[in-house]
Amino acid sequence: MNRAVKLILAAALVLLLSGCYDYSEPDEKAWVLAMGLDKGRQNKLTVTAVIAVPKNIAGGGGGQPASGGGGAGGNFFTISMEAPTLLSTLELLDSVVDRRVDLSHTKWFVFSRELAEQGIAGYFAPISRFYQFRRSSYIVVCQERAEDFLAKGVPKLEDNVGKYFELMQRGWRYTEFIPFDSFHQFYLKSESPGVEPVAMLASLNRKAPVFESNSPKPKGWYYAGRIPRRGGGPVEVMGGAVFRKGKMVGILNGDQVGVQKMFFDTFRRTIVDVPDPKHPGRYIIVDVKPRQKPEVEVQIVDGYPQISVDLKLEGDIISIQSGENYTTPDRLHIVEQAVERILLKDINDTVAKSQELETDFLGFGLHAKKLFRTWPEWEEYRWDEKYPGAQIAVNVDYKVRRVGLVHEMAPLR
Amino acid sequence: MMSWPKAMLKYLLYQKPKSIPSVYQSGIEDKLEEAAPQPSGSGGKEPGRKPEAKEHGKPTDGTGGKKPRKRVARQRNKTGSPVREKFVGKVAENQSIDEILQNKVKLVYDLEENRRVLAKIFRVPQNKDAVLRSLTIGTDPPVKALLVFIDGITNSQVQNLAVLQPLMLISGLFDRSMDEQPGANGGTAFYKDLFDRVKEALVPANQVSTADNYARIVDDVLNGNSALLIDGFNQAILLETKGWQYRSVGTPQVEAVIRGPQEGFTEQIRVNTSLIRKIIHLPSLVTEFIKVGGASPMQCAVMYLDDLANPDLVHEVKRRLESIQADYTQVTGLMEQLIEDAPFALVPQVLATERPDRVAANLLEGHVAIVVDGSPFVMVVPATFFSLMQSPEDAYVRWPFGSFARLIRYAGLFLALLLPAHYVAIVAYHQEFIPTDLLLAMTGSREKVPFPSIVEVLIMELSFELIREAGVRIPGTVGTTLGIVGALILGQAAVAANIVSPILIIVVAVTALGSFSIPNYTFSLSIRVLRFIYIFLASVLGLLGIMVGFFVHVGLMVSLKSFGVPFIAPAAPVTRKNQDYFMRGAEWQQEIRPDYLDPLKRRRQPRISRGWTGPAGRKGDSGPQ
Repeated sequence: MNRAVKLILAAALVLLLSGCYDYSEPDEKAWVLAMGLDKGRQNKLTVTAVIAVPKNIAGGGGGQPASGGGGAGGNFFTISMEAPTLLSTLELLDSVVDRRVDLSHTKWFVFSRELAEQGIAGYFAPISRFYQFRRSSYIVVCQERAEDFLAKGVPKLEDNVGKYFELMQRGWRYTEFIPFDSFHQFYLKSESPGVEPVAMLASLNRKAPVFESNSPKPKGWYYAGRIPRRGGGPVEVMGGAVFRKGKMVGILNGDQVGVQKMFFDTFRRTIVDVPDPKHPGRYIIVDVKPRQKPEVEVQIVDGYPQISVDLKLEGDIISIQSGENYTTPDRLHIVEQAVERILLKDINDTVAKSQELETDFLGFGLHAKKLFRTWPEWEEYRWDEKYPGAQIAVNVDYKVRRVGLVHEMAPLR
Repeated sequence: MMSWPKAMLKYLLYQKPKSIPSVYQSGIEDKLEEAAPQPSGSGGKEPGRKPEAKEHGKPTDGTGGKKPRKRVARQRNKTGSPVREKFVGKVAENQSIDEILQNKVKLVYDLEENRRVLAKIFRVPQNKDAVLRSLTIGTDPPVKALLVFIDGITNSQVQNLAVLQPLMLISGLFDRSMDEQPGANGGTAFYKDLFDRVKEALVPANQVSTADNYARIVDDVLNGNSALLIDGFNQAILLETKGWQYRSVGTPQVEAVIRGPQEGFTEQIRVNTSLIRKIIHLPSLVTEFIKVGGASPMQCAVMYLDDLANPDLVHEVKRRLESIQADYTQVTGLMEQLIEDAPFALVPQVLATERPDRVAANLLEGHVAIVVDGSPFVMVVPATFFSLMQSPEDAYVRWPFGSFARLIRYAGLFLALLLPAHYVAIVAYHQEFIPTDLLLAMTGSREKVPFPSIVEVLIMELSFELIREAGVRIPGTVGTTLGIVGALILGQAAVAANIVSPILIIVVAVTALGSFSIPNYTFSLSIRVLRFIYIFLASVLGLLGIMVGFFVHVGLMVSLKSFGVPFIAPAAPVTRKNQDYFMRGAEWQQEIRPDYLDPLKRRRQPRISRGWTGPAGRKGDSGPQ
């Protein structure tokens, strides 16, 4: 053995120093799919962990498919523990769960509304430093205690509750009711002046549905915990929780979340029921998609911002209940104006709400920022104080692109 | 002993480049420095070290202060061995025969003496293969002669019709007709002497030469020729009578293609060279025979295009072959190991192929082919990484499909090399990479498996290697058994027994498919071995280990040379690339020969090779008027 070989061996040994020696099999870890935080009963917090039971999900080694259902002895179980902080629960959990608890597949961080209204910045901001933590997970605010929400939220369609969480959240792509802000956006928005985050709002189904009155209401009028329904899974996700300075200050209903997404260009599509201008009580149903990014102009006049927004949207006619022939080019504008009218109402409601809450969750501050040359100047301006006094004018431009599969429809006789 | 920092400095500090006699001599830069007189006293200890005296391919460590490794070769030849003492007479006899051959002892005039010496050399009468046939040449007066040949490797029909019949029967006829010719002044005037006359007129064999020493006769006779010795002459006539049994030309066994020639090389060197020459009809195609070691002169042929191949490359190939001193080099695989640049590297450094069309295509690029007698594989040098990953079929199908096949093959290479390692690394260290659904499925299926993932992987990979090795060695008649047993081990049974998790079966199967997609068998072997190194690295260091291993691996490959050509040639070092190194370009784009070969002619076809695309046919005539 000559010197060269010895040197190579020595170099190979040096390589071993850089290893992290955390070899662990996946079946030696307990995969936490969601964490819940409540106000503590005996300590500062009650932390709930949803831990997957892989052998039930995968159907064991034999290969037979997993049995449906779940609940007790099912595809996951929850543990709630009293702890001073979120991460110290990881230690406590290891004394109950035989496998090492791992957060790297956590999908949801669920805060109870009670805790959120007291302020959650102190809980979620520090965990972004932790390596197991994924910034692609989501912040969810639930109307009741998070431990109940997670323990009872057994999905109907999925075996894997983690997939259920992911798919629920992925609804932001095809419905306007679910906000887009992942933990990463949520964190950035909380940290930056001039914009505030919106978290997903979720709730367990109530025991008995609440039906208030049968007057016509827009479909996005509801939010989680208030959806009038019977049947379905225990969990509902709709609307958003508005935060200011890490504290929850209000609730957005489904339509308002849609408007918030339009302003951030994360709005993909929605269906709007438009009252037929010629046939009261009948609806024209259209599809709405963004045509361009929203154009936001901010001016500062007399120390207060003046904001004008141009929203350009487009879409198809899905259905015309009355059978009135709006589909000729010279009559399309009737539909377009009706859609613009109803969208504008939603938008104005939302803008008014944001000013009422004194919370710029629509992100106008991001557009105002460019008016200031330096960061101290921008901070000096104190956007959050000036925003409630801002004048905001929104212009909506909707174009019908396609009128659907029926041509020159005649009303039913 | 502390001179290794000095040796390291050599690489760190700028050194003025020295002129290099031939770029194809690999490691010549180091050798030049060694050859230069060394300043310290320790270097002068070995005055006999000359660069050309070194064995090629054997890395001589360039550390000047190192003691010359003195191999104490015991002189056992003379005394000491009981066997040699017992048969001392036989040893002496063998030595005398070797001396006759080595000293190139000349023939004598006396036929009986020549016969006695040849009988001694060929160990007649014990050796029944060697035949010493006495005959009389039917001239006037008759002359005694001796025909020497080896039975079985000569064509007896040729011998009968073209040698014995003319000598014994027709020679007399011819004799008379010559005499009758007026003005010819008899036969003796037309030819110098009887020997000349026999050679010129009496043996109608197609190749005839003369020899004046025993060594030459022995060489030729061992190659299937016949030697004719005539009484009274100290020369012999060597007649071409070769004729032995060999496998006929068949389809290639290892490198099968669908579209393309279905001919493969055989074990007969002359057939192999003719298969190449059959494709390249060029007078500049040169076949040089090189005597390698103690083998026969027709053992090894070097083929190249004289007007194309770089003469430095040809010279280097010949230099390496001529310098080989080895016992048994009848197979390409053995010869390859003696001429390759880096014997400790895991990758093959010559391209061994059994397809004449592939050799021809390479010769036309400026490569050099080495044909070895007794082996159906021909070596093409220099070889690069990209040539090892190519299949002749890439060129025979249209270029999009050829390129696609290559992409698939490179994907297969990476899968075969890295997939099991990645499985181990990700499962054991980087579970956050895995989609949650898959992770839970994997975790669930592993619940009852008692081993860690690394053991699982090793079990499956080793059993796969076992099946593969057994599959090669298994006799054909029981071959079907292997499939059944292999499918049981690698299939559902291992999963059902909770030895391995089901997903691993997929990993092993994909790895196997990937390694079978590598077209070069030797290269595939190296990937098989390296896979285990990567698995080990992954199990110790995770993806970091794979990364470090890959870095070292690529570094080693880049530093490798095959006959002076860097192994990853057109890519590193970056040189001018043609349209056929990674992807396969269209046929009309293949305009230049590989830059790293530095051929005498660079351009292989004009810029417009499809003349009909130009206005009115740029190249050809305007057609029928």
